[in-house]
Amino acid sequence: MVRNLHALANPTRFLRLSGLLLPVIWLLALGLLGAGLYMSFFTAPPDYQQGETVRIMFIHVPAAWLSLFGYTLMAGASATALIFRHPLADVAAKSAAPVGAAFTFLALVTGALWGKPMWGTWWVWDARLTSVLILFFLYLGYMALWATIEEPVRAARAAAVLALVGFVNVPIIHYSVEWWNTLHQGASVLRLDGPAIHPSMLWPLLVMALGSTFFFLAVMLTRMQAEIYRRRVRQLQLARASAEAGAF
Amino acid sequence: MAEFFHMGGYAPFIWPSFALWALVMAGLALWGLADKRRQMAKVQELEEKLGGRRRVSGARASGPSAASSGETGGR
Repeated sequence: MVRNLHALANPTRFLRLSGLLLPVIWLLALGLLGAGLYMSFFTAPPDYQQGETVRIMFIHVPAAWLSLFGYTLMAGASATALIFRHPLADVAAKSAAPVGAAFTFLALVTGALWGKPMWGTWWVWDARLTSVLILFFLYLGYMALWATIEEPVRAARAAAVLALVGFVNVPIIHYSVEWWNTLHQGASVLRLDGPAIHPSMLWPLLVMALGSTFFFLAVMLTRMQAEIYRRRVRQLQLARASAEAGAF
Repeated sequence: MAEFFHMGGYAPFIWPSFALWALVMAGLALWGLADKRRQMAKVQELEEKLGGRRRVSGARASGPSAASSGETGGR
């Protein structure tokens, strides 16, 4: 296992492997999202209570899941970077952050657009909404830390610590609808006794969720490739600078 | 058709949700792909300059403008 991880650790090998996989992942993402959108509008029925607004669920819920998936991935990669010094782990964590932040943003805004007609308000400072807003700020803080510290190794370490400390928020978000009174409904898919949602709505939701997950991975892998090239640029510039210094 | 776009009166909430979603998703994808392409081009440019100079060993290609060109753009 550890040996396998280190085989992947070689950035050149990663570039080759991800270059092969990425077209497939992009295709899966776009195909599933296209099918999911079709199902969201044309096969899913309007809800008997919420009417047509229930269609917002098909983007809101996958975005919310991926906001947590992204942070978990980021924290896991950060832990790997700190403990095993895996050379791709901090690249992975850094590349996941903007994608996770974007999905968190989407969950917040589509939630507000769904909340207004159904709850009568865009926003309430209850546990679920507030903890997700904090998640968004954690993502922003994480990205700001990377942007502030010039030297990648030091930036990676500081950002990884922030990601790990912030991880405490993830279970809080998940359980917030059980621990505190909230306008937000409880889980209706990820339940021990099975999904409490009709298949005609569950299927579009699952297809959208799977498509969004592939989309997340596709963007993240693309960003990882960009980051590896960016670091190579940095190395080449340093090599060039020292070569120039040596020439005089 | 009109009924579809009307969305049972909830159009002002549903369409902005999906429009924003599409915008953010497209933005994420294009931003990532553009960044990758830009960094790849920079690597190639720098490798050519470094490689070229090593072979020719006349430090002609390294004007100050070339040295700073890498500083602009992507972060």
